[in-house]
Amino acid sequence: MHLFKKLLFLNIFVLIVILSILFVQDYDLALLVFLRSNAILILMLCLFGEKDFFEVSLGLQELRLPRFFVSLVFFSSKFIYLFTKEINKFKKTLHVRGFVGKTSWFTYQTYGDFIGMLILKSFYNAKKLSLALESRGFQTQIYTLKEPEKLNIKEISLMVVLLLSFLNIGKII
Amino acid sequence: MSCSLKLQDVCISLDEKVLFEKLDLHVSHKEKVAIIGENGCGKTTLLETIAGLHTKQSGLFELFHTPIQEKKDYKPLRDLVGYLFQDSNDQFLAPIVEDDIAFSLLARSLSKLEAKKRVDMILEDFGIEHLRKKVVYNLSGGEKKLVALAGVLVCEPKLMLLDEPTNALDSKMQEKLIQILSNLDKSIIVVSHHKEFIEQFADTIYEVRDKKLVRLT
Repeated sequence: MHLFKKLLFLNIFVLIVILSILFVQDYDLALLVFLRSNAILILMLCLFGEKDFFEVSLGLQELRLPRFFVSLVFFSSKFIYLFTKEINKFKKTLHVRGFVGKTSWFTYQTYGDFIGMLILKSFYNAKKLSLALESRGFQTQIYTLKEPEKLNIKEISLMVVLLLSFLNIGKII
Repeated sequence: MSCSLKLQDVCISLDEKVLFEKLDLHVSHKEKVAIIGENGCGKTTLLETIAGLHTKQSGLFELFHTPIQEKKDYKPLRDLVGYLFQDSNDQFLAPIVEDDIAFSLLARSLSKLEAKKRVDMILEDFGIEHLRKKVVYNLSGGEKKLVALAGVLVCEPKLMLLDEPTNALDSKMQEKLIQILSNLDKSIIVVSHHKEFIEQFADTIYEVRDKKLVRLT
């Protein structure tokens, strides 16, 4: 149900694209875009939807993707998580201090100040992260005590289905 | 008594602002030193310099009798120094408590089995086994501090640098922290505003005055 909700939300963006195609009355292309984007979204949600970024980063590491890229994904996710917390804190502060969003300069200025503060904070966080990496002996790798998971029957089946569908798509193209 | 740290005539600046001039500091083996001073006087930058994260401008800097001129001189000594950040969130590098505590051990090529053993031990010593699988960012301020300290202590450093360790801790947590730190047989430099904590914990107290360290006790 959670994944279905996510899919519905992401389809808002797909619908915007489709509407713009429908304006030029290319119905076949609109249908193709809708089906392909949803196929990609469903695949991505099945693969990553229920996983947190840490697990995804470890997965990427297990797939032997470049360490630099994996670290980038991992630490970006850390900051996205912290930013989300920061935004929620900001919302609470606004609420507590009696702020009501209106169509006014004050409202725009408040949100602008907040975005500016987030940017400044991201510089600060990046600096602190580099210090933490240095002091804790980071060697461009993400570590976990968890043993790598073994492939189970579900995953092998998914791999086979994906492989077959890729082959089939290859034939059609 | 052998000396863990020696700073002599050291000058430290940050963003072109001179924070310390002709600074002297000697920390003996297993000595517990506290540094106090006004906000913004450079206490954290001093700790960062000792931790090898910031470079001094001039003067003599010796760590375990090894002179440090540049950052590369610090590399072989890195494992001997543990640094506890003021804000624990800055220190966490893995989202799960046990993974974060094990981070530096695994980064030093310790086997997972050995790392797990040491993590288990420190979690038990700190009485925080129940936090093992928790997400670090969702912990309370006190719990975060304990996890961050566990992440430093698990590597068994010889010199520990603690930046405001009692920040945001309630009295119960403070007592627990004092108990843990007092039992440590290591050289410790702590920066804190918490007078009671410092008096209980430190052998020597310095105050930052006029860009120098003045010995109080």
